[in-house]
Amino acid sequence: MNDLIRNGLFIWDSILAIRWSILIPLALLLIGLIWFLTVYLKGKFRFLPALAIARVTVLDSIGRLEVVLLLGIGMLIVGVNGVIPNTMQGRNTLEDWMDNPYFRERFEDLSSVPGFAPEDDEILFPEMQDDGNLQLSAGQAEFGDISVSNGEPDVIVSGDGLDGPTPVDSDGQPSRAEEIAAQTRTIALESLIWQAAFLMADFFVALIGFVLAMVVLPNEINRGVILSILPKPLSREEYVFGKALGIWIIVSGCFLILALELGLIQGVFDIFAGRNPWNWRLITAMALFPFKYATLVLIIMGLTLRLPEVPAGIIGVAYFATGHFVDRIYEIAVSPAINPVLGFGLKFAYWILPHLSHATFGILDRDQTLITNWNELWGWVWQISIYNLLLLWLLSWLFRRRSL
Amino acid sequence: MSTHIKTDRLTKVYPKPGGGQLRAVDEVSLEVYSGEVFAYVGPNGAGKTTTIKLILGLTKPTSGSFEILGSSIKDRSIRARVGFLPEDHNFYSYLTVETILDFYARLFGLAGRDRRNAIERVLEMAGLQDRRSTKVKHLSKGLQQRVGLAQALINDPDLLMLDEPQSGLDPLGQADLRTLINHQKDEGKTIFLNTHVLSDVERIADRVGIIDSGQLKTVRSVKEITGAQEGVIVKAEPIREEEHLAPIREIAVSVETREGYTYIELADESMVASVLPLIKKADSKFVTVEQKRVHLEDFFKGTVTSRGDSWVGPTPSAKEPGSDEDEKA
Repeated sequence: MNDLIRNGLFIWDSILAIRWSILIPLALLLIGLIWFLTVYLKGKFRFLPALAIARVTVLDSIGRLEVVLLLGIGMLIVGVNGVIPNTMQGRNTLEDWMDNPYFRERFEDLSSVPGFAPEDDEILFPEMQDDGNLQLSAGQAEFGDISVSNGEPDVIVSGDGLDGPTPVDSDGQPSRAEEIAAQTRTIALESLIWQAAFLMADFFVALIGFVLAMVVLPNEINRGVILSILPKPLSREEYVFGKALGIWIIVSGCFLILALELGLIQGVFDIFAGRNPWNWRLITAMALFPFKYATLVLIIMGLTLRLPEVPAGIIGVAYFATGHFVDRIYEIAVSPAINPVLGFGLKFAYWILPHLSHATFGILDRDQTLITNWNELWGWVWQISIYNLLLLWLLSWLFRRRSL
Repeated sequence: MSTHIKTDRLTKVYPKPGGGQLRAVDEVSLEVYSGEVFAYVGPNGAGKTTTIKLILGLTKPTSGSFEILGSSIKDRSIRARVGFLPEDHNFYSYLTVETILDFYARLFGLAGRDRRNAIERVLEMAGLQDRRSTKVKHLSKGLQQRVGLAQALINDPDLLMLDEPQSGLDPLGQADLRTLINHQKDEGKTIFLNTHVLSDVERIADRVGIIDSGQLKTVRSVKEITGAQEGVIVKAEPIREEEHLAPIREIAVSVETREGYTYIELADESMVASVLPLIKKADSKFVTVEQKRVHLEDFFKGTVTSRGDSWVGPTPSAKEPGSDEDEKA
């Protein structure tokens, strides 16, 4: 029965992940088509010249030393961060893990999470609800609340390891709640294994995006490349869309390479350990992260049309990074203790910042509800798509006004 | 003869960094006719490149109007008939010559066999067949200029606009360029040639427009400027002794010794026979006899009032404030 539940949960999670990995690009495509058809009907936009610009941008960027170098370093670091933690996979008890300084530090960080009690050999990621109940999450589905009395959780898992015997309750009977908790623990550990490598991949890809987006337009304008392009039968909208698309393809491609590398490393270890090698959270990330890289590219490219490259890059990255903490900004803005004027300012910032928090930490952290709460995910996809289209329009508008 | 370029009081004013305004192009009205080679000359910073940028829609005019091939440059079908070689251009340096040309062909919507044929045609015209697989960054300046010419010709344009096309070309390359321009002209194409090389203008241009300090000073036929005048010039090895020069002066309009030669201007060709014995008597040697004519360079010097940096600067490449590049500021 427990195996049935476990398999059922996994299949359900997998379906959700597949569904979003397909629907998200489709949603983007739909929005993009509506917007560009509007421009196209005005005769300002045709796809073929824009695709030619994107193509040549990709071909030129592939040959750039800085891109190859950053990608190479990224692959090396992601590889190291992916392989080393996996060598811990055969050692499943908490004590074994705590022997490793690499993880001890991370477990110590986790001790600040409410309900996490390493001394009890418990690795849970519970979330305290407003009604005082403790909610446990496992897999990609939500489960019912478990009552908490005196701040102590009802369920204590003292398992012998990730693949140990089926958890039982205090009467020695198989327990659904403890099954859930064991799964939670498994997923939590998996998360830890690839979290560092994943964050490294994200960091290096953002760095490549930063470098390319910062120089692409100033380079072409200052070096005179653009002078032989714009008199050809293409509009400025097509040119700037093609440039942004080209950079975005490069950046997203770099991310896919690093994510595939991580997935491959993880998958090989999983196969040897007899586990399912498919990491659906990683696959979901592959579908989601290009949205935020588009935001990064568009913001920095737009700023370079008004500012020198370096200030534009710094401001763009700061703006982009702040977007990852937008939920926290809103929490502060609506806090009763906050000054009303400051609160208004923070709310304004909340609305103009890209809402990127779900695009990263939601995938990495177990206490987020990104994958389980697919309505929220769907909303985010629409939100960031519209945001990116607005940025694209702004970029086109700035470029149209630019004298060459 | 239809008009391929027409500007009416075209003006571009830039704010100067320290305040004030720079009239880079000042009420320029000109017409370029179909099938002609029109040379646009002027000192550096005179406004030549800015005029081209205005005509091609790369920058917006402050006032005035223009049309190209009888319509607006905003019209895609018009731009599909224009080829342009910019001054100081660059290409995607990590790509090969063939990939670059493939890219430009795609911008014109060329596909499949048409695109391949167009690439082969311009590779041959620019003499780049052997360099098709070379990355642009490995090409010399002259060869990059040939790539620039090739991309300008990829669409077989009706109107070819060349901004300093001789830049970076060696003498053989310059000769090839003249041949190419003449070939284009023979095919009925219109060429707008922005250049400093006045000797080339004399050889290949039909008309010349001289711009100075943003103002179009004159538009004249090259033949009209450099056409034959009455009289001939006899060029001989230098004659320095006054006793030999005196009898020559008696029959010549003028006698001048410069640049290692003595130039004897005669009223008409029939007097050459009279002066040759005098040259021989002075132990000098006769070199050439030419019809008297005005050189474009002399006409140019007499027309412009400002001194572009290529004439007065410490090095030919030095730029003064107000030069084409600085005008963008």
